Amino acid sequence: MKKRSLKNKITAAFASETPSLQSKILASCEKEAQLPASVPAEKVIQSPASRPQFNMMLKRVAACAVCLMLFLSGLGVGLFVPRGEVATLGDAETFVYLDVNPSIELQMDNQNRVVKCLAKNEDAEAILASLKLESVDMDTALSAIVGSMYVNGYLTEDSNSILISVDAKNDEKTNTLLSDITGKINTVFQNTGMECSIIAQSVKVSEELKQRAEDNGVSVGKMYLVDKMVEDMDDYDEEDAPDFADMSIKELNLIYSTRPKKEDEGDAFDKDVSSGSVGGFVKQDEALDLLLAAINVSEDDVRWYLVRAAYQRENGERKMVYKVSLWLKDTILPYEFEVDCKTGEVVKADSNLPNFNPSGENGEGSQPSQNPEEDENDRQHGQGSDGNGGTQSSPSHDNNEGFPWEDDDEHWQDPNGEGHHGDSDFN
Amino acid sequence: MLTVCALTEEAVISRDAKTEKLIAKMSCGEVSAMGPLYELIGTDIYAYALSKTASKEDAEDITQDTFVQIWKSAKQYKPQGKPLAWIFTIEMNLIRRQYRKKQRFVSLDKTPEIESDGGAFAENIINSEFLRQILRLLTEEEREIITLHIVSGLKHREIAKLLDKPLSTVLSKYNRAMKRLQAQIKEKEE
Repeated sequence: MKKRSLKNKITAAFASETPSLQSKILASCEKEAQLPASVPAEKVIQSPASRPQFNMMLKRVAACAVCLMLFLSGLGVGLFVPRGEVATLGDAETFVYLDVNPSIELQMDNQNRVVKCLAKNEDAEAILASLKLESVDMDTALSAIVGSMYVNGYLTEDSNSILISVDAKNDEKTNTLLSDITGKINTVFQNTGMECSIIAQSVKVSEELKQRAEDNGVSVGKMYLVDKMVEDMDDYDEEDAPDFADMSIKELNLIYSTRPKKEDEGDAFDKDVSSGSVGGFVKQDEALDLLLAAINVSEDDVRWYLVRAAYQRENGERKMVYKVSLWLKDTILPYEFEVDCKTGEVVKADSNLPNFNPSGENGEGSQPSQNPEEDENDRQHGQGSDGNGGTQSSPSHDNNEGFPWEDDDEHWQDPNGEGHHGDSDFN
Repeated sequence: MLTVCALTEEAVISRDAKTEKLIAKMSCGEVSAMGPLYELIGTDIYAYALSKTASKEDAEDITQDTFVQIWKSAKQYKPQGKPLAWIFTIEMNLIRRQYRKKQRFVSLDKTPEIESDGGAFAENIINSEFLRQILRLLTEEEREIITLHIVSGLKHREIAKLLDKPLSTVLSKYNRAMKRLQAQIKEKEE
């Protein structure tokens, strides 16, 4: 067979095997088009008129939730108490705080039955208006609350972050409850086909914490998280607390869940960066893809990368960005970029990257200098703190201090999914 | 209508121009441009994914993800006459990501090679007998060079640049693969 015939045969073979995927792709693209590239997520939460349409599965779950709520409110919770038993509630000894935008406090007795359910803000009042949860067991109460949040449009694909804070008698009970509650909420979400992103924390609520929460107009759970972020994250301090308090749970979640972990925080990065992703934002791995496409760099050329969310103030407005550090082949220092968390647009690029072209105009891959020393000398100025409160973890730029991951290997990600390679053939 | 003939140079240039126009439309939010784009380059994207994964299911996933990613990244592309290089960079990254998801530990510098007879598991689901031969007979590297050159019309030097390999390597692998296929066909005919 002549080469021309063989070529035609190969082309025909692949063409005949190519499936028709247009409708699936179009559906995905249309879904992407509905994502809030320009619609502030908070508006989605606060304005029922602008709520995205529920998909069929979600409608079914919402319908079930409505039934459950009607059941609870219309027929009375007494039906849940087995005949002959007296529903005597004990004192409140466990406190569970749920924050989405509505903030709800559940007070429970030693058998995890609801003693009191308090709305901590106006949104929460709407959620609890049709529910009578006193003496109901925790699972039922959670199902009803989460269902009501769906129905009222507070939990959507773009707003899937929930903060759960538990203050129980002892650590063992706290941990059990956190695990149970997280599992319960995850189950509800699984039925919708939506991904849920949960921050679960154990809290110790003091009068001082309550007072500060009140002063800042936030729930105690959120106040506790803000304190923890300021304390745990090296790139933030007390000055950031008001900004954190002003953020939505999903913004806090994005920053907190993408933070570089400290050594004693376990193998937080030993997982796909996309897991438990925060709705309404471009995922970490998508941001990396968009960046690589924009700068026309193949993932093969990336030795290590670090992607973490941060916030910035721009003309008085708060903006969420991913700060991306790329260690390309044969370079010691990273190139630094910023990608808009909502649009995926590259908003800041490292001017030291040779041949950088955000639109990929020249079709050339970006190749840093082959001489690491030269790179290092050229790029001293581009490193260090960004001065805007970002979670940048810049490595040392002193030639004598070795490679960045020698200091703190938990911070560095290998784009090929491998672990840390302290003895890399990098040099 | 999908392309079924090996592309001439003129056809490639014309197709590149059309592709760029469609990407430009997408950058303005015209999702309707996706259908024509799929008709234009769907086979290229799918063929490359299939040559790399030797799995129909994976190739379909990657094809779908690649088009969605094109849609999402369209604003960041400016016409330069070579949209396929940009698109294949996106696709290659997605393929690597899928490898990572399936296999925790892979080589740092290259994606793992599918065994040369790795096409065997795909035999049950790939209809074209000839395509099964290609998957079985050629290595992953040879397959990707063959598909990029023959199906997508990329020049050997463009493939060398895209795959970051010496031109001589690309040429020798291409010629060796073509000879092997020719020999196989000849053997079958006899």
